[in-house]
Amino acid sequence: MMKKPILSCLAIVLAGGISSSAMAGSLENLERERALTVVAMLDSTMDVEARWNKLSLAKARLADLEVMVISDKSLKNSHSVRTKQALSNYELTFLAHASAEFNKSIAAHWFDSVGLNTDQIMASRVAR
Amino acid sequence: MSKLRQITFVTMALVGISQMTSTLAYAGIDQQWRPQLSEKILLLPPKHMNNAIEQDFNKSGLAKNMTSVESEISDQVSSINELKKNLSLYNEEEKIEARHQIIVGKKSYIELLGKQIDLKRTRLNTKLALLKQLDRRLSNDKARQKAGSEVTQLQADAKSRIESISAKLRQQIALEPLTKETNFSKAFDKNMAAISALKTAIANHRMQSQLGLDAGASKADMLRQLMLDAEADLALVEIETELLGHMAHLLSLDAMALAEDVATQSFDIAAGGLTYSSPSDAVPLFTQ
Repeated sequence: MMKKPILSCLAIVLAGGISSSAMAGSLENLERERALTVVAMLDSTMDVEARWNKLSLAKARLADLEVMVISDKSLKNSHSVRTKQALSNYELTFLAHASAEFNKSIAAHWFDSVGLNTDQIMASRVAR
Repeated sequence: MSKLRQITFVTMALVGISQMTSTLAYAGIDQQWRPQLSEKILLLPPKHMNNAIEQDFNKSGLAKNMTSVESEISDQVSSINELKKNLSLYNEEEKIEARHQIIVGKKSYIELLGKQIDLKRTRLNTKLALLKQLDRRLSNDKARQKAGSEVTQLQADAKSRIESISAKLRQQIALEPLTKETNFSKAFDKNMAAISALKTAIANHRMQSQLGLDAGASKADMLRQLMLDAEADLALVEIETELLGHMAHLLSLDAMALAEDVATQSFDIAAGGLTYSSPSDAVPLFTQ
């Protein structure tokens, strides 16, 4: 007899939890899309054409998400280190715009920013 | 049956008394000024803050109370003036009565003025407390803004870089065969154009200069100025209290003068009554 109200209460609580966890900030959305883009860049199983198509689509999505981040006024009230770090690291956070600024593809710009260009790779040595 | 009637009577009496006390309590509350302004007043241009505070005061019970006391004061002043004006038309006895009425009028005037000064003091103290509260809020906001200013600065820097390259990136995306311009992108461009047009209109609006937004006076400066004004008014109220003391002193001297005049007149009457006949007054009766 008492089970029904308890179950309905639990359902309400769970629904509340789900809805709050479903809400994400603009920066989190950008981070997620960026991570998927980097995964596509590094995916060795993907052929060149599929990667090119995927990165083209990602570029358009990242461009929109980056604009959303710079227009997000709620970030001003955020005191998290993650937000500060993300905004300080323009080259890696705003990948689509930064790559356009340097006239490079997203992949080339990312590899450059993390220090994975041809010269550096050639200069590296195998160590145990 | 009589017991029931007694209980009903007692209950009704208690309900009546409780209603009376609640009415009295409400009457007490009504005569106060409890500012209904929220911190949103700080969003107003500095010039309009004082107007908003005064408007809130004008709606309060304290303002109504002060207005009614003010009208009583002006009635009292006009009746005193009228009595003073007609003083020369009266005979001696009426003159004494008129002078008495003037003194009574002046006493009421001083009492009313004292009440008005108390109300003024209450108003100024309430205003000062409100301004201090707003000032504290403004300081807290500033401290919070300072803490968030680093993120704001970083975001502003990123914004300026993105805005400078945005058109080029959109062109690149549009040239790619697989990607279409997104709905967000279209709507964003449209909204940004609208915002830019509105910003230009705001900058060119004639009220922009009149509101004093760019006059250099910050909200904190304005609040400080208002607090100084309220404190200056409070100092004036203290001087008015001193003035009232002198008025009361003069009135007491007037009353003493009246008492002396009345006493002198009664001594004259008494002295007039004590003139007894002398044999010399009756001499003609015998000589003629």
